[in-house]
Amino acid sequence: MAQEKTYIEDIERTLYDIKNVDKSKYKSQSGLTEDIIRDISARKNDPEWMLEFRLKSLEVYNQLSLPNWGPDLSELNMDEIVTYVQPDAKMTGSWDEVPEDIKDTFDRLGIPEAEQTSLAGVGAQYDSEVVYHSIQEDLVKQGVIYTDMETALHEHEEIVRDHFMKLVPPKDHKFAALHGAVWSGGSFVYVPEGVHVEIPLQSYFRLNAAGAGQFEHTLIIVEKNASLHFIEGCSAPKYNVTNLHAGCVELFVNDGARLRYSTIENWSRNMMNLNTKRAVVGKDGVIEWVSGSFGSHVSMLYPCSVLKGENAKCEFTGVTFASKGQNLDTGASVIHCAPHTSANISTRTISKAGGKATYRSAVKVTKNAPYAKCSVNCESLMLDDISRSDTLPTMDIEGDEADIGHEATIGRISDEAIFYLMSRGISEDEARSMIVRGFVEPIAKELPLEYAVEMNNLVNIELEGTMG
Amino acid sequence: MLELKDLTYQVEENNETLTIIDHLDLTIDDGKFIVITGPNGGGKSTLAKLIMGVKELTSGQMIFDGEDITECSITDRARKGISFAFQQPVHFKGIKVLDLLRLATGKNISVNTACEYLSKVGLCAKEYIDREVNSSLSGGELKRIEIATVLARGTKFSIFDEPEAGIDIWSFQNLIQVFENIRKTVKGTVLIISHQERILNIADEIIVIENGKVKKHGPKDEILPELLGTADAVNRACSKMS
Ligand SMILES: Nc1ncnc2c1ncn2[C@@H]1O[C@H](COP(=O)(O)OP(=O)(O)OP(=O)(O)O)[C@@H](O)[C@H]1O
Ligand SMILES: [Mg+2]
Repeated sequence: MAQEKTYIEDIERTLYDIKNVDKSKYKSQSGLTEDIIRDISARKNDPEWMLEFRLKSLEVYNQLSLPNWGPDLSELNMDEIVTYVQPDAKMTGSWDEVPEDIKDTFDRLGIPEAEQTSLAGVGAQYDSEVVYHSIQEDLVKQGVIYTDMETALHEHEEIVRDHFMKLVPPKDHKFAALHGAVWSGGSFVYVPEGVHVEIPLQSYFRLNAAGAGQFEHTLIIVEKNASLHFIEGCSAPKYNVTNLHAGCVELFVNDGARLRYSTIENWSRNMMNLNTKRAVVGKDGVIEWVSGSFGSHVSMLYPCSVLKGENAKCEFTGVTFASKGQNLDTGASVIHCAPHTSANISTRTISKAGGKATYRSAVKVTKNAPYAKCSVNCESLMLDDISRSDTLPTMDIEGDEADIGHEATIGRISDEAIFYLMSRGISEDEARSMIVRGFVEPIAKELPLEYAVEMNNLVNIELEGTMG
Repeated sequence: MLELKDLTYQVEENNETLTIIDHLDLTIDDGKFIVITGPNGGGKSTLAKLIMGVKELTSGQMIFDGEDITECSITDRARKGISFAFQQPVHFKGIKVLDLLRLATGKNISVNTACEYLSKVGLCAKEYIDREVNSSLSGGELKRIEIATVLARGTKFSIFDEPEAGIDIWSFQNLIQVFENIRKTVKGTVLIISHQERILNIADEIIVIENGKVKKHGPKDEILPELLGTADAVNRACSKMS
């Protein structure tokens, strides 16, 4: 039976929407079968164990059902999704060697420019494969590895094998299993003990092909007392068919290490974004998430931090903006597994024009985690009466002497505030945008300047959508 | 010149029509320093908001420098040169004092320039410039910042709604100074809503609003003695009662 579909009229998303002619070198058949997976695996020249892993994941995928909570996913028809799209480009360390249309895409997104001014390394993925990767020489000398997952799988097979989908096992949920079966691309970062990567690394994932899926895998290992800031960017142009993103991010933050993982996801309105991110943090280690969720038709994204070592810390700062036809279900979860672990979750959700934004926070304190500290602060802003924002906290506290705080506010922009700003000579739209920018400021200020600017642009793009 | 012709502002409450501003006529000449006073609830703030366009007239007409602004938005009025310091300024999360001052001037003014405006209202500028305009600021601080932003706008017609409210006695002294300076230096019209004799004292003209109407309007020297006379009489009556 043909599935009834609702395609969302997209707003003008300017540069993000410029699509290239599909010049892919190879596309797998749509759908999900053992043959397709064997074919992908062979083309990617996987080691034998990886093929087995993929096939096992497919089995798990077939056994699991869709989540029985959260947004409706019935519009997603896997039979119509092309899971592997190989761009007609070889991975290179020189932008000159990247095909022109692909290079132009990343130019518009400002990647090569940022690489020159504010990044220590860049990975750029186009559809299913990484087409460009670079890292500064002095980091290489210090033993830092930053490369695409395929290269890592061959050159650092043991490390990958020890970590790949160990934190997010395929059994975790249906889309983790899907990821295990069809993953392609993504970045691998290894920071050796005591090395501080002072300037951020960034991977950008661009999905160009219509009706395709992107399943990049990001694996980051920060060894003892080392530190890293990793930035992830994602976008796709709009199409009239459903696209799927089911990436997976696994972060290993060892004792005394510090990792900041910043993301701005900016998908078009035909995207189902079902993404999984998880970090495990050792003694005295720190994971900091900065997460901006924009765009997509449906999102389910709940980065999880497992505080495994004593005194491990998690800082989570997130913003989610849902507009017309969007159901963005995001959140954060923290599992306290050791004494004196602490977490701070601070989120802002905005909804407008009938959009639905849900923020779920889940805090679990195991009985091995006395003196856990966790504070959750969720603020929602609804820009009109037809939009919805919800915050859904859950807490499960077994450890003694836990100090858990939760604060949630849901608000609207008052006319008074708008009138006030208009009386300073700006238009009503500018006033509204200034208030929203102020609302998301706690997140913007956690981002490097260029990304804060990008986020403010996205806020403005989303806000302008109302006017038409 | 601002001409208010037959202004009426009504609100519906519990199926009743309340007339807050009642067929009010008023002409405010250019370059004057005018203080509006009158009993609580008389309609002063409402009148100021009608001039700024924050509230919509029920009927009547407003002419500003010969141009009919009755239908103009708040933004347009602001751009034509009307400013309003709110009696109760609004809180904003994530917006800094510096942002508000930049917004007010419409320019990307330097921190130093912004600090000068804050110093004018007696705030130690460096401490405030990066503060968010949220509930962490005290009422008095908020009021002073509000006054600073209107000073920063420097428009030809500025309205201050009870600028002295919530400001301590010591700073009040300075505030009077601020307004005296405005009086001397600013060429535009300044309209202050106030209950304070000290402020009434520096006015060119005083307007008394009561029950939504102009009860009195004239030069300070004429109106102030009348007002003080009434106050004296009330005081005397009260002291007799006790
Ligand atoms: N929306 C409204 N609904 C009901 N009553 C209103 C409304 N707006 C104003 N009023 C009433 O109109 C009257 C005038 O209010 P306004 O704030 O203009 O007085 P004011 O002269 O500024 O007083 P004060 O000296 O206390 O500041 C008050 O009685 C007030 O309660
Ligand atoms: Mg008042």
